[in-house]
Amino acid sequence: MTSSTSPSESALPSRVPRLALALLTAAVLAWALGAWYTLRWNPEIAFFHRVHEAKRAWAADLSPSNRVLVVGGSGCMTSIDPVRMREAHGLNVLNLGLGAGAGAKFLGRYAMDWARPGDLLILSIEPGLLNGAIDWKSLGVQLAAANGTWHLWDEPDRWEWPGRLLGLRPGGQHLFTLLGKAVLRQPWYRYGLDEIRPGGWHAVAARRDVPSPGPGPVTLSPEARAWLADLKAQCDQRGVRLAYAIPWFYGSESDRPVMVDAHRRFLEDVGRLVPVLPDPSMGVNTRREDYADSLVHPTPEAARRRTDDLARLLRGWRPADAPR
Amino acid sequence: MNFADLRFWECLLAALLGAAGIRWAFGGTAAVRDGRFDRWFLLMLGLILLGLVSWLTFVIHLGVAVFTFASVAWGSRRPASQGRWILAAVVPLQLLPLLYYKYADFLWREVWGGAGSWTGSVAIPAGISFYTFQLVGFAVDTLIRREPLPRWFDFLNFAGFFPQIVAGPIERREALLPQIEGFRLRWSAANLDAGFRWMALGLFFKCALADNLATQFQRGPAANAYHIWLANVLFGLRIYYDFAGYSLIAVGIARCLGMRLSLNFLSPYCATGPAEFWRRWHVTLSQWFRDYLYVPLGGGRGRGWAFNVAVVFLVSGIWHGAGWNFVLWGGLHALWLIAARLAARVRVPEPLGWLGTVIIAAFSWLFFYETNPSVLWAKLATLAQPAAYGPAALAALKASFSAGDLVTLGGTLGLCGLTLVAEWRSLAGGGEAYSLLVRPWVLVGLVVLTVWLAPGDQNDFIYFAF
Repeated sequence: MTSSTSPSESALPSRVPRLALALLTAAVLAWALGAWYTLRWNPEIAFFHRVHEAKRAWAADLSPSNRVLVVGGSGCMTSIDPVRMREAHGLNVLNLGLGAGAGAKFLGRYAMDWARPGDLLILSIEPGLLNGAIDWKSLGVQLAAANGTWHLWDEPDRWEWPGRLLGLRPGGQHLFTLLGKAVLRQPWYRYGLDEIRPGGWHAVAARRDVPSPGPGPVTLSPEARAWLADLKAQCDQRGVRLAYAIPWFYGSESDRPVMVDAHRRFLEDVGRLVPVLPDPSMGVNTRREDYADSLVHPTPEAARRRTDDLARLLRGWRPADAPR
Repeated sequence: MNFADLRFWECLLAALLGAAGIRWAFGGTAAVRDGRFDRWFLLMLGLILLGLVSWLTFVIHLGVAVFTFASVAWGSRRPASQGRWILAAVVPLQLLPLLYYKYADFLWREVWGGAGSWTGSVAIPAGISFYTFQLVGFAVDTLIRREPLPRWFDFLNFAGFFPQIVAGPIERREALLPQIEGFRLRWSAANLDAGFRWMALGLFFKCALADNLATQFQRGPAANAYHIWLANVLFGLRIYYDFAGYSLIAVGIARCLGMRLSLNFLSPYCATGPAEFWRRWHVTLSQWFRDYLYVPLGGGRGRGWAFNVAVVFLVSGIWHGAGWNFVLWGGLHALWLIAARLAARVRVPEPLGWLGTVIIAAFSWLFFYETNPSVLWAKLATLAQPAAYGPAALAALKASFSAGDLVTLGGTLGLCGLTLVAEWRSLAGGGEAYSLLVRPWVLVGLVVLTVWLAPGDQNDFIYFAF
């Protein structure tokens, strides 16, 4: 009953493993088709690639001195308007925010790829990305490839390209969602390319009910601690100043005290490794109407206020003020 | 040794290419011609792959294997009448590392009332539950059934055959040892085709089904009965496709090397009763318990049969993990089997039998994944309350998913459903388990689905934890 004999094995002996070769060929072709789709047609990757192009165009136009680079997930991408930073505050800001799903490792490398000596790099990465393992996520792998920044895949001591190449596939969640959207006749992606503003700021048009996240664990994992320390060392070596600014989360009035307390402890932890921008709001905003479609995506109007707040914080802050 | 990790396949391919190169360069030597090189290569590959998991895994495995061989070699030279006494001394010592690494902390806390960890929270060495049982079986077969002692490096190959060492199948010596003794590193098209067949199906089960189910699985609130049932179903499907996937990949790798391993799963969710379910679920472990525990206890004959069933399932429960929830899980399955046997004369229509089987199996998974006793009791209380099945609970379940999550959940469950139907059709047509799924054109489709649907972020195999 438990024999591993295959029920439909060929009776005719052959010198060529035809089925094995057919299965390998199918796998390679399916991967190639998946990679082509991912890099050419995947609407999420196309959106982020366009955001990247907008950042590149903005960077080319940016004065090389006193640059402020802000990197993070979509909370960063949707919150900081570089045009307003320049026009209203005279600050040379490059918003490097992309999808949080790309993971902290990719976002850190992406930022370091832009950073030049003398820059101030502000990490505005969501705490949720720093409470577990800091490894490559498929979105990060795909974005590095779609942007043509293949060198971001490199690891200092290991050859990881086969694994990275295998990451150029859509995955079940993406394909099933796409299938559902096709059936329900919804747009392929919830954000339109016309929402991308100069400098790569994403002015979110979508609106959705945003529930308060409530109190949740916000802790810095040992891996994140090591990653932050390594990033700080890299910045020091390259003459880049590094600081952390907590993103601006929605929280109801009742949840606010617990969230503020959790963020305070998180920032104290981060502050032992990296200077922290002292945000009086502690990353909690109770105005529900400020949020578009998620608890870190502000409406364009609220994003302008957040931009102004960050500009004020930057003006009044010196890295030496930060707790060490 | 994680088949879902690309690094394993890179190491395996590099080792096989290296071995092929050495065979080609030194083809004329006696060691290559008589197969010694091939068996040494297999041994070294197994040990290196174990060493790559962790040094503790390597040392403990080698320790248990060397102790087993030395004690069985000594015992087999003693008179046959002393075999049982020798075994009574050898088996507890074989089990000692397993008991220490897996159960010491549990006994320390739950029985002794101690605080913290007695072992210092050392990770359980990979595969210890599986190879310990295989080696206990070897000791019994050699000392009691007076099977001849193999050569020591053949024994080490038997103890550490890399495709099956970490999570089975648990093989009997008469099934695996002769194949090890005659092992030759020769490639045949038939073996490669058969091996790729099982590997492709195993990877589909693991990467396309189990890993996508894993992204959907949430323990959920203890007060919502629908949420608990959904979690039970998702976990039940996930653990099946995860473990069956691993076992099929192991069978496929072994087959490529010209070795035949046992199928560990035979479409268990097509079973129409508990006895059949256990003939189809983790087959080699069930057979191990039958041969080395149930039958020696007296088996199904006599008045003590219910006690024997209970002992086997309580031990099976605790084998899966050190926790009261696993004991309860084993006890529940024992009760189910005993009740089914007592009611054997009652004729149950097959569809009803199947429905009862999947419902009870799904219910029992709650005891498997919910390791927190207070949450477990709260969930059991919820499931027992008719009021917990109201429309408000159903609405709360629906509200906990975004539209996108619901589509993904529906797609994943739909694919699992189609696979189960194909499994059922394979058996209903009088064929062997999975015969429909391993047809060439079906396999090509499954390979394409695996490549497209596998989540980008890796999940370990569940049974590594056991």
